[in-house]
Amino acid sequence: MSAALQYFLAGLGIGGIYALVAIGFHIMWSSAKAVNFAHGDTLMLGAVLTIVFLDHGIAMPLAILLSIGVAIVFGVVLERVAIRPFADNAASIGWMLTTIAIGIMLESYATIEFGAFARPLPSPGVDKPIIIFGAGVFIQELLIPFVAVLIVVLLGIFQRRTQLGRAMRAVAFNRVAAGIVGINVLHVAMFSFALASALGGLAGILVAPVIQASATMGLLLGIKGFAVAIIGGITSAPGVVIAGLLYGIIEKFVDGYISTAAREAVGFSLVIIVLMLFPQGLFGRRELVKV
Amino acid sequence: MAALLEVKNLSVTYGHVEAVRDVSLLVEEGEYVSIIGNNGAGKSSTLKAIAGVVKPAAGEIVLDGKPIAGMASYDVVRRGLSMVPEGRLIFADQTVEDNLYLGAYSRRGGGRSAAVSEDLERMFALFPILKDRRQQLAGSLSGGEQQMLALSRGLLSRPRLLMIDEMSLGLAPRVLETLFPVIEKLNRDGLAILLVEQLATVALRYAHRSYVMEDSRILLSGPSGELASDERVIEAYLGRRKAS
Repeated sequence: MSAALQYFLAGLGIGGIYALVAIGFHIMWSSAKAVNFAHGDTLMLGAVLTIVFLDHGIAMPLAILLSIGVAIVFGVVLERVAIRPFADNAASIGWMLTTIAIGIMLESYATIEFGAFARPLPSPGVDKPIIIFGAGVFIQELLIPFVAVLIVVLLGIFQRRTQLGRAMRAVAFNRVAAGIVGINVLHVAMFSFALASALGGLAGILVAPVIQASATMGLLLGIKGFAVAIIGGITSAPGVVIAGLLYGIIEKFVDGYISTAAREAVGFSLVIIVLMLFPQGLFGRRELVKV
Repeated sequence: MAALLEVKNLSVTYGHVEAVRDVSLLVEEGEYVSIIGNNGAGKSSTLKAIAGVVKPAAGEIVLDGKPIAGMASYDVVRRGLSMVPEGRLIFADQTVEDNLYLGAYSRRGGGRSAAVSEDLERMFALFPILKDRRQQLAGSLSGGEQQMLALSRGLLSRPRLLMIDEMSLGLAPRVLETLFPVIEKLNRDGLAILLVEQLATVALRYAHRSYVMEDSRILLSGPSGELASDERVIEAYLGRRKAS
């Protein structure tokens, strides 16, 4: 019983990260019908830069803000140079290559500057585990899924209460219709990439105390976050969060009851099976793509 | 009267297909103008080019003395030209009210100002059913209600010229009998209308002047009354329905 609870809580922690990454993919896809495959590296940027700033004696809160700021700039610039020129119609797929390329370059550069080893990011959330019915869990691990759910709730309110939020949904729904009511689709795309990258940077900072920060941490997180976004249904923010949390929990149960080695095989097999049964993802909406 | 919209020698091409060829037309301030013609004649493409949804291949579009050809749709609407698109294109996954707020997107202050709230009430007075449905998702409305919403959304930008593309499409005659008089009233209150319509009978009844498009070109133009009694128009567009 306490073992199962242990896996469940740990799974929530890692699933919360997948959820946060997937929300970023959802936001980018909604506005641009393209995503940044270097989004995992945005997490890396957030985590690694926070550690670098701390090394330079900058206080934690400021280090976090600065790192998120850099992540935002990264996302906005990337949208401009690697997505916008390569996604001018629904059939364009050049952005897949350009964003992957930028991710690889960023990862190489980070390896040179930061070193090829992992370092922990200090956090009061991993000082000592709290015990719930015999299962030990760090506050940090509980904080992550909480933040993921909170962000979906806040995003929902933002998209219902503000003109910019409504515009994001309008652009996601139909770009032509958005244009004729006066929405500059490119501005909304830029804002969306800034928002997704801010959340990506934050996700990296949140996860670094638990899994450690390294130049290569982004790759698998990015791929799993993308997988979760696809199986959750990339058009649904709550959908991708639910899928992220479930995926994390399933991973930890496989870890615990089968083996760590089986984790990726089982996880990605599930992804394929779900996609066969639900091509739009579990909570997704069929997209009308008019070429 | 002064020319509000002037289109000169407009051409629109999709790849190698020429959808609009050398079209010139004029809408004066406060005027009600229609473009009639069969499906595929180029009427919608003409409107889309004016609204900035597609880029013209050639020609001039002048709104209020200023060239707008090639301008993006979100800028065109800021200059007082609003389009109610074919197929309505309402935001089906948002509420009726949010659709209306989005209609005011181009206005200063966006959806929050008192003027926008007033305009919302004006739309509810025009179409009371929208008030009853204001918290419902727009996608749950009937076709006629969706058209009312699309019209209201188009009006919320406070345009001086409202372009309406194929309003009658898929709507019951009973619904059209409530919609066309509303547009006539808006026109009487000073709003210029450019209507694209396959139902030539209805368009010629309401519009002051009309253009007939055929094979991507303007074939005829003139006061609607004259066109309605033109042999060629009667034969090609009114024949089966008999002008009333």
